[in-house]
Amino acid sequence: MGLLNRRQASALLAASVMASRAVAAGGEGARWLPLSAKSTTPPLRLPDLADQEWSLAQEQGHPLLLNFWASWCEPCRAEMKSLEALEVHFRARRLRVVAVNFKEGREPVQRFREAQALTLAMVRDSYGEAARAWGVRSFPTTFVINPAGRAVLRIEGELDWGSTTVQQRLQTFL
Amino acid sequence: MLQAGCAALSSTVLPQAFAAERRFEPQVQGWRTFEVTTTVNVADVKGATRLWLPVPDLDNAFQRSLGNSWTGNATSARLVSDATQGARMLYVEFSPEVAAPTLALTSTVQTRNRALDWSKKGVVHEDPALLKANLAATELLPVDGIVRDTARKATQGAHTDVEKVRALYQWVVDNAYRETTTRGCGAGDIQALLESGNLGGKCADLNALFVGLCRSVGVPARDVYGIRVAPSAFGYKELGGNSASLKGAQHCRSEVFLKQYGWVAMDPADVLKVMRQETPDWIKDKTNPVAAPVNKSLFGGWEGNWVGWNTAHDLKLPHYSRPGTLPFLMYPQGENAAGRFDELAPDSFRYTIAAKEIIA
Repeated sequence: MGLLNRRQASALLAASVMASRAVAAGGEGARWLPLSAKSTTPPLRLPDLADQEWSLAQEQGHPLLLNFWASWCEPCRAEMKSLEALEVHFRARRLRVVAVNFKEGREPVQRFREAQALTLAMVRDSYGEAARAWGVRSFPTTFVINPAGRAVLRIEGELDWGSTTVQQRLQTFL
Repeated sequence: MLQAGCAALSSTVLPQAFAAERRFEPQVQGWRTFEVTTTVNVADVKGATRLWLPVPDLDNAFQRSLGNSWTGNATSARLVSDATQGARMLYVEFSPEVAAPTLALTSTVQTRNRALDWSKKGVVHEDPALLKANLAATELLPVDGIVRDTARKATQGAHTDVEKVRALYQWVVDNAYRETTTRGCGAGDIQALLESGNLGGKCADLNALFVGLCRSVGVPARDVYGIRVAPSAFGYKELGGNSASLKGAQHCRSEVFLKQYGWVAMDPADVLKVMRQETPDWIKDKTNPVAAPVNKSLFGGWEGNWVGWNTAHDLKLPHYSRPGTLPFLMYPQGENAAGRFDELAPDSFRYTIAAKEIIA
């Protein structure tokens, strides 16, 4: 991982089309990319929907899922609810899910959140700098961060996070 | 968003008999004068507000940028230039005390049609540094790797620059498509497009793809970012803008430099737009009577119902809070203490663009 250039970081708008269309209930359609211990985990400080600063550092001590998304990305929208189911499923492990929105205004993000009746935490990458730093080339892209604060897994594409197969497969990374 | 400005211009059903009669033949005629007014209102003030608004910055055989004026309650406003590309824009600051920042920018500009007479060859000299710059890679337009490989395959058998450009223009028309769900005009990341194998996008993707392919095989080329300001004189609803409300009318075109002709107009993205959206059914055949005249005329011409802002890539916005660059400047930009404004969401960053034709 590590810092990437803009070209790598911005499959972005076209990515709504490129992203996996098929829901990969068992994770077969999405790309599961384990990250080596040598890979760096970029710091992250972003405003939430109330403009309060959130940082990756404050999440240490429990596993975290970092989901890069955009409201215009159909696969992102499709998997969002199941991310909440995942959070509930791993409540005993204190898993948190934070959705990082790419370059959209607070209001459209808020509207989407309310329309979908979502409760998961959301922060805004209004300049697209986080996506660039994390090398996000398509949406959705999700990272698993271990309790020590290190990214251990990158998943590109849409998943049904509520499926037993995905949850079992994910368990080894938490 | 792109369709919104054109919704009232024409019916949506084209009887086949009418389709067979479609004509699109821009000819170089007299100049048209437009006043283009961008009005910005920032609803959600958080500290100081900064805006960067594109202005017409082209003076050439098809456009005369005559001047800009502005009104509003800005603390300061002035024309500035991007440090690396020299593209001009209006930079506006509002101090935190301004409760409801507002600004109206009016640009006066003359445009006319372009139509190249391919039979009239000459020798056109251009600044070598400019040509070199228009052969170079940008952050989103690499000219090596998959871009060059693609261009080389597409231009097999082409020997002259004209043949190469024709091959690449048709390659884009034949292989890409307009993706209506793409946000705004697209990101313009041509490597990502090619690597995905899914060549769907809008003008900032599709014409950028054409430009990158041309550059990669040694033909100087550039995107020209701008906005449609009037309906098409040829009745193509997708090739015009509703002057009273130009929401979503932003459109980038492209140019290539050919030694015998100079800078030549090209717009394969608009061919694909017509094929996808001009009729209820997606036209898949470029020889269709609706698509064919557009495919022919946008190779070497375009209609003067459009104003160009600039040709810059990788701009550094003066006084921007971030060190990064902007891939292109086609939409108003803004930021405050809460971050960058979403130029495609009319919530806290509201702007309208309208054009008025000045008839002498």
